[in-house]
Amino acid sequence: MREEVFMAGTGGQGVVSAGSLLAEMALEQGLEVCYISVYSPEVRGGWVTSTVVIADGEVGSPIVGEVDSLLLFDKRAADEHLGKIRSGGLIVANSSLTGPLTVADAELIEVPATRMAAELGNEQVTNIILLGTYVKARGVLQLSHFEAALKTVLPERHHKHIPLNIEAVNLGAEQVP
Amino acid sequence: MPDAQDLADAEVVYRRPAALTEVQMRYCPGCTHGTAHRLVAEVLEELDLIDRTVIVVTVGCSVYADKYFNVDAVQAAHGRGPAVATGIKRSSPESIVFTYQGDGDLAAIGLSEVIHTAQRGESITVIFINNAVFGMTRGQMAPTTLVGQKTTTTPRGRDPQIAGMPMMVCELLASIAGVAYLARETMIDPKTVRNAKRSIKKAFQAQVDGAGFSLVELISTCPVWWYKRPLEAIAWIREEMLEQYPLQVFVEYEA
Amino acid sequence: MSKRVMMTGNEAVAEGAIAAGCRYFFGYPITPQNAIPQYMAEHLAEVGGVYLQAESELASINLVYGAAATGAYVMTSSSSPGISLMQEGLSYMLGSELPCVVVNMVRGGPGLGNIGAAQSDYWLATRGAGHGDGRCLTFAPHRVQEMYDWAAEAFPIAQKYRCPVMILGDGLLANMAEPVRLRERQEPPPRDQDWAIGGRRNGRPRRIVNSLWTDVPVMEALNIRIQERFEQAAENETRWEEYGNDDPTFVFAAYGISARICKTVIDRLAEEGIRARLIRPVSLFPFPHKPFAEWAQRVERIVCVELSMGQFVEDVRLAVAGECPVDLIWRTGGVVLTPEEVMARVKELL
Ligand SMILES: Cc1ncc(C[n+]2csc(CCOP(=O)(O)OP(=O)(O)O)c2C)c(N)n1
Ligand code: SF4
Ligand SMILES: [Mg+2]
Repeated sequence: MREEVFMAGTGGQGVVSAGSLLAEMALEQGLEVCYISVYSPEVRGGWVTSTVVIADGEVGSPIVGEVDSLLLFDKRAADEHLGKIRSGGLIVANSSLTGPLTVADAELIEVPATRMAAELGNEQVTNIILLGTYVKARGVLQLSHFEAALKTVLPERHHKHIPLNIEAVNLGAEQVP
Repeated sequence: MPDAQDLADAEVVYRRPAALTEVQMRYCPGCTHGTAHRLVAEVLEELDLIDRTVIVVTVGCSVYADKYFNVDAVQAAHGRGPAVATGIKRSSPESIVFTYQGDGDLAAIGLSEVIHTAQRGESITVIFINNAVFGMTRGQMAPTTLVGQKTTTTPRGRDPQIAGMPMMVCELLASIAGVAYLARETMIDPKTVRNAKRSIKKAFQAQVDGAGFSLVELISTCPVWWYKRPLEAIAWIREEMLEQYPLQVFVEYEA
Repeated sequence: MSKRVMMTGNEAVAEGAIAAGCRYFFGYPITPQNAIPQYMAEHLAEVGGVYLQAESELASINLVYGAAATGAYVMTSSSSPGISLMQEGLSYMLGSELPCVVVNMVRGGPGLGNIGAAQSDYWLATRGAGHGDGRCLTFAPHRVQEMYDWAAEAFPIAQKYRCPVMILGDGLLANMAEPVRLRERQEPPPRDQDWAIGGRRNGRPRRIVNSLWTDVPVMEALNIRIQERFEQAAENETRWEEYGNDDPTFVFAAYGISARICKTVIDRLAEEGIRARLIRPVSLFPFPHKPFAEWAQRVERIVCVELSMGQFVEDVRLAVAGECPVDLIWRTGGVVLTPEEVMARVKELL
């Protein structure tokens, strides 16, 4: 098994933390994983991508061309990266910011995650909602590992936000048709 | 001729310092590198530091100083002495570490290393031999070469329009907070030799006390590349060099 | 066994060094390896070590030189342009027979280049160490766990052969995170080398660390001694990994990040019924000639994959010695190969 996940968005949208949460979940589940975030040089408003490769054996290439799963956080990310999806792959799009998308040969789940996060009371969990949708829809990772991963990734002083994050991830999972 | 008994009874008033080996130095006649070595060696002995001193030997006529000093030695690349000394001091703090550097080594290729070592207040001592030329490589211009001074690379004399003015290392370092002791001395007569020794001693004392960076600039002769006899070289220091490089204690240290 | 934790290559190589007993680190910031000095600045203090930021890489390597002379485990790290500046110091360390560990997280070059992942310092890493007859022993991990493990292995190897050891990574290996299983941090070994200077002599004869030997036969003898150590290292420290089909039609040659790409390509080719194998040198100097010489007799071709314009392939060709064709697939300047691109190009060759 080799699952290649690629996420793209703009700085501040939680693309980095979504990537690292996914990696921690894979680790919790006893899988092998490789995770890298890349960002554009400008400090504000630049693009950010996270690549997470999960495998049940050795992770080969950390570099991906076409990917199995694509998480698109906004329109710029969609314009740039939509073509990366492998046929039969999964796209989770934050439709609050991507607008409507059309894909030929892959499964598309559109989640108005920014709006839903605002309704939960904190736009910061947009990424967690998208993560929940991806995890549930793809079925490679189990949602039960989310809390442990969150505890590792979140600094101690933010642990008070754990319940909100769990709510968000479950809400995301519920969006899977 | 005194006989053996006379010798045994005699009081020793002058001998080779224990911090120097018996290896014969190979400096030119009239060169004050040898005097500077001796002064440092006397100080190491008087402060009882021989057993824990490391000399960082640099590149210039003094490149064989590891043969002359009876202490542990590390040979550094040209200009890098203060960085090497820092590495030794940081990983072996009880060592007494000094570099012995010429003006090419310190003021040309190694200016950055000495400034940053001083700026960190590194507890090392630098003995800086300013003889206004690159001696070892056959008399080329150094940053410290005097205006008008003929060298093999300033055949018509140093022209400030081309090569700028002489580099004043002590004046440059004097404003740096990490400096615990800083002085310029020379070695052209008994009085200046005594003063030079006093400064060298203070510099090492500052290191022993962990007070910070210490440096003594010694205005030195290079009769060969000044195209002078030894006595003329001494006179040239008095008349020309000290005009450009006045003797001064820039940063005083009291134990 | 301890729990695995996610770490970047930068963090892993730094923690691996501390775990091995390294207590001295001198460096100067340069992307993509800034997390190494940052990690050292944060964590060396916990174990009574010394982190010092130098004013340049010239200074870094000379700080290392000084600390190495005292017999300490000492390390520096940089990326390509900084490693260029360290060449002088490395040469002096070889001439003075001093051990140290240098990490090079290679970036795109020449010149200031960029911070992309590249392998274009292969020659610098395997031939380099400035002027003179010496080189660094060079090892190229390809996973973050290996970064950690090699940091630990590098110090005793450096001490054994009394020379700098280089750990060669790249911008990707530096910044990607993978699970690492950590070991207990060890105390530094005693500095009882018979060449180490410093401390109180307590009557021992004085020692000199020196690379100036004007007596030419003495210098030649030193070079021979260094060379003999390299020959011993070739015997004891040559490492490589093989991966893939046991009866391949062709063999990939790749190290570091490129080898990871090849592994995925091999798995995908296998799904299409194409039999391929990988030889991955872990030690770049000493170079593992043997597996190349052997497989060259049995396969149609060897396909070299590197993120540089034909540097690594020269060593492969030397090892293959004309026994089979050697092809080269490359990208350079910080551009990385994707598995798809390697697949497409290798199929054109077959
Ligand atoms: C990198 C490098 N460049 C050049 C040299 C050649 N070199 C040897 S000594 C020297 C100048 C020495 O002058 P100085 O430091 O003033 O010492 P002096 O001989 O005058 O005592 C030079 C340029 C070298 N050894 N290394
Ligand atoms: S060349 Fe000059 S500095 Fe060198 S030993 Fe001779 S007199 Fe002294
Ligand atoms: Mg000089």
